Amino acid sequence: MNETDNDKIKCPFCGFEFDAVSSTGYCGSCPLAKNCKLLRCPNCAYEMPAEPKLFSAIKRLRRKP
Amino acid sequence: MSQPDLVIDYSDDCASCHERMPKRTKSQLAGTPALKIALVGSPNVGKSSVFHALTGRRVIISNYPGTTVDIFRGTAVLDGHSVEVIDTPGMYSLHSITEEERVGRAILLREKPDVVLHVLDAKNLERMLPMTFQLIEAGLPIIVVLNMIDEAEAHGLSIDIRKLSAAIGVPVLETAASLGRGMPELKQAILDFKSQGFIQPIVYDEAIENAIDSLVPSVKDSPPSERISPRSVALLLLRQDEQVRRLVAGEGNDVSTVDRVVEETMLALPQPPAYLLALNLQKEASKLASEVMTHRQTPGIRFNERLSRAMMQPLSGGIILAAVLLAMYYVVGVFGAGFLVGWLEKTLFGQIINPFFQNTLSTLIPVKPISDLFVGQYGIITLGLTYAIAIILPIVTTFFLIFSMIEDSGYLPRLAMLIDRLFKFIGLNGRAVIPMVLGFGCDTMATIVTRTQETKRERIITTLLLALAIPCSAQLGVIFGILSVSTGMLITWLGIIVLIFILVGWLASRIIPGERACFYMEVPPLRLPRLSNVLQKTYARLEWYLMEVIPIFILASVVLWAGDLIGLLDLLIRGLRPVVEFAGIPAAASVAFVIGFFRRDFGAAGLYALATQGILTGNSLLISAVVMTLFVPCIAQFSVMIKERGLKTALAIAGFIFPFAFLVGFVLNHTLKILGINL
Repeated sequence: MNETDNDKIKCPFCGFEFDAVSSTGYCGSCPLAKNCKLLRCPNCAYEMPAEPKLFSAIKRLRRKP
Repeated sequence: MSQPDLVIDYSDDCASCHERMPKRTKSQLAGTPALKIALVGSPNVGKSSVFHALTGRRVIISNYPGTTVDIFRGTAVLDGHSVEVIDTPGMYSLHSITEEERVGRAILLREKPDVVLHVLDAKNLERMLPMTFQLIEAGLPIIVVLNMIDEAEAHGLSIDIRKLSAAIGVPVLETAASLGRGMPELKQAILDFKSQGFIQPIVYDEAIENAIDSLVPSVKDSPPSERISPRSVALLLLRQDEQVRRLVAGEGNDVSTVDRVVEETMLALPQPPAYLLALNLQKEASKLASEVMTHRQTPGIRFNERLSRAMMQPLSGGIILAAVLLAMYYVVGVFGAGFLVGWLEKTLFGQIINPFFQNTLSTLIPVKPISDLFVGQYGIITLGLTYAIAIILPIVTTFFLIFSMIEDSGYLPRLAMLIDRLFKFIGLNGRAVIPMVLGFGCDTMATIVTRTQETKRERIITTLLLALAIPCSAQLGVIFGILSVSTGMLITWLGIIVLIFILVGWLASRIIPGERACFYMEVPPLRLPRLSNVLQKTYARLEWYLMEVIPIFILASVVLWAGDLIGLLDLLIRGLRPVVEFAGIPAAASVAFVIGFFRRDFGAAGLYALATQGILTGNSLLISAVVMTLFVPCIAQFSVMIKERGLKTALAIAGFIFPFAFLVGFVLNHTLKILGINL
């Protein structure tokens, strides 16, 4: 994802920056919502997969001094 | 994705209003804040950055009452004073269209903030000033925050904020909130803020001004006028804002004068008042922006801008789109579906994995129906895993790889703007662009997103077109794979689908009555994709896809095996056979259409397998690809259609699509025959 910092995700469609917690606004009607790993832009509803755990782990390791 | 470091708990549901109420947290300050501030502005202007720069981590999130829209509230401490800060959803205008915009306006009306920070993207001052004018017309206590000033400077822009402030009569500040630049000055400006009273930034055409004068006496005591100026209420009524009309009508107020004035004004003007007002605002904004802004050309920017414009112009945009599709064809169709699938399906699965399991399991499980569950015609290994890993995986990997590059470059919003022109041509609302583009990812989610459209008419048309003519990413990848044998075949398929899309969309928009609306979209800058980002996105999408697709493919194999065992599948296939043959497709493809209802890509993979076996060739291959693309939405999309549009509409759409897809196949088959074309 195009993150600007730990909390922010930048939508690759409209460029809107949002928090992961505000990305589920459109999920209510979707039958796959429960186990879905996708994030949705609250501005344009574009969906994108969440950052894989493997990449988060690598990033954390790289950040350590 | 790392979660924000917030203390949020939605366990305390308010029984009376069903609003998600967060638990009190240590972040909430005791006592009543001295001031209440609301941040408003278009999406993507850095409102959240300003919000976080003011509040730090003292944030709570909750649904706005009666809506599904989340809003952020936080507390800032300015010079020892506790200040409540509300971050509103993005809005382009006081005349609200989407639910998010309605919530943004409701916050201004109901929450009565002491200061409204109108956050603007300094790079796009001209485009954002119309809303500033509207907020000033409304008499709201605003401070204009020119955010992202660092980016504007990098683009060679400089803004004379004193001149701007003098022209509009409100404080103007420059910030780069993500860097903390300008934030101390903004905090001080909030504390020093004194409302300067109502000013009138724009005088409209005579007919509109007369209408405003006629409306003001009727609305000056109405509920909206308690918060925004009667002039602003009158302007919103002239824009035919239904919500404001309802508020003005209140409980039994007579709005016949209001309706009469609005109607007479509409008849007197050559174009709708909403359009003329927007035009007037934009004209004034352009004039003011040219007076306060200077632009120094910087090297390197002009090429990006020229390319960006070329991508959105019909002719050059069409050529660029064709080049993108051609690149996709070579990467996904030729390399992914041709080379990679060929090796995985024929060599790895066809000669090594499947024979190994067939031999081993046939020996270990002598009962044929049971061993068939794993290695039979519809076996978990021989069908489910072979389809998922040998056919789908290489195709979606190459598709996701190129899609991530396109996504990272910023091409998608430009594509949306290009398609918007086509939509206007066929009489559709430009807002349909977003769900349509999303549909190329997943039609199920795109169907949900149609709720962002204004009217029921537009939602129905978009849902119909999504179900009919927009293939999801996996299906699109497999179709590319199937048709990679011939570029001509691929172009013909594309032409037919585009033609049907335009024809059905055009007919539907003429059959179903209603008005069009404007389409606004922020276009972020073009950028070179970063390899690490592209690889990460591809990996993330693949991980998600495989986690979702493998269990479904296994489940589908089991259902097909069971259906085969009890004879139900045979019954279904026999039932579908005449329809399939009617369209000029070999009967063997019936099973692909039956399983296509489980998942679109599963069905497409079935066609792919038939093509590699030589059962589908030439004309029948093209007809199958066309019918499969148009054919029924998958079960997930169908269920969402029922939820979003209601059972009747969903059944009507499916009732149209089923016969129509095969009818198109029939017409295509006979057209090819009459023209003597053998692909």
